[in-house]
Amino acid sequence: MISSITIEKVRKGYYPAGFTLVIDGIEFDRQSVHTLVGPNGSGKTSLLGLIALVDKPNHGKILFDEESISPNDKAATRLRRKIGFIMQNPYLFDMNVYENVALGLKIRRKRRGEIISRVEGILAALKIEHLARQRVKCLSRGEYQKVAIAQVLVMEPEVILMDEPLANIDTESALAIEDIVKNIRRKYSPIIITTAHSLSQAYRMRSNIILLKEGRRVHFASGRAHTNFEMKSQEVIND
Amino acid sequence: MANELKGAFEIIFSLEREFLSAVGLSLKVSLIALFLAAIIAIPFGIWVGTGKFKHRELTSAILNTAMSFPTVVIGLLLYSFFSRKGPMGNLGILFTPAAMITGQCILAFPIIAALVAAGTRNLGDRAILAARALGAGNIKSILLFLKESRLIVLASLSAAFGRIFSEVGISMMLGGNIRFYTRNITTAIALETSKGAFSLGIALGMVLMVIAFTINASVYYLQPKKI
Repeated sequence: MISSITIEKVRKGYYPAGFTLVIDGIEFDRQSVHTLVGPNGSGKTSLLGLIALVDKPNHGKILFDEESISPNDKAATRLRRKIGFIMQNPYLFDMNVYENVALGLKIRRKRRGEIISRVEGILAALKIEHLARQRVKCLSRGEYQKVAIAQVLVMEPEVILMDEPLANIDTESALAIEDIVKNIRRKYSPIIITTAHSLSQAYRMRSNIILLKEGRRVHFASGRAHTNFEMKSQEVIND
Repeated sequence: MANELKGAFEIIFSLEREFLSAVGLSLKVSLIALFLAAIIAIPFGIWVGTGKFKHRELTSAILNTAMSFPTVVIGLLLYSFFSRKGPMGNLGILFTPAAMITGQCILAFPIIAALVAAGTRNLGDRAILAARALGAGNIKSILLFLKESRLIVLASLSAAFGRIFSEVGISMMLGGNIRFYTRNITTAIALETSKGAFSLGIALGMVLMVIAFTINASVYYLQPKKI
């Protein structure tokens, strides 16, 4: 079980946008949820891409339990199977909902019985079991997003990365998803890193907040110190 | 005109040898050419669509331009290669089905490659990234991507088949329109029309249209429908 992820002096340039992500040091553990907060273009998605091992830093290291892993390493494929990444604009394969949700479990060669029970369980929890046989091209944006979330959470990954997972989702479903995440934490406490524009979600999850601006970490607050943090964060977001 | 139409139906239902020979040769030559072109054009199109290399845009532009190559230009070019004094004259394939297949292959290649490249341009990054994010290795990611792009490939094959099946320039110049040997649907239509014998031409034209329509309709019905 991965117990910590450390970002060590990471630099990643994006051209021709001219944006550079510069993170000198952040550690993510299993003790609490971590929320990356910041305005558009602050580097939240870029940082998640590096942690998910789908992108490679120009300099620096991403350490998984002290072991430095790069996307091209042989160990990266094995490690990626422990990471679940819910992307901001997720891509679902041209299959039905059930097959999409089951895909990650099939890649992990889980038994058929286990796949069926886990997929049915997550679809019911997200209240989308009636869509199981629907092709994903026929879904609304919100339904599409929920299927993408189900696809990742069903794998019960050791690291869950969520890039603005609640965008396009109604409040009731958003709360249901937060409950599922809380249950997952109670069950096996994975490392959870999420991004958000607003702080309210971070408060509800009592998460650690890492404030990013223009590709740099500008502030950090633990889940217990939110009250003093609110003013500072909102200033940076509004800036 | 009514008499010609009646004659055309009689030719179709009586399955005349000349009629069957032209239809059979057209199908044989075009399907072999399509298959050979697809073997190279599909991977090439995927490479152009999803690869990151220096002259990708230029390659795309060349492929797009090549899509509109006139068939007579391809015919002329290959004629000069395959003619007795040409660099490949010793092969002796001018005025044979092999020469027609070569020409149609060249005609089909840019159509398949350009359409596959255009179709997979956005799909490539997203599908492979999604597969990787789900924990798929390189081979599994590529297999998922190929499954995902099957309709793009099918549509490109259908477009290319439509083009090569109905072309006349290459078949006429490289095949020579030899009866029962290199006379296919289009060259037969051209010949029969010039002779004023419209019935066979109309019969062949109808078969050509029906085959082209069947292939396009199949591709349409294979696509998943939005509700």
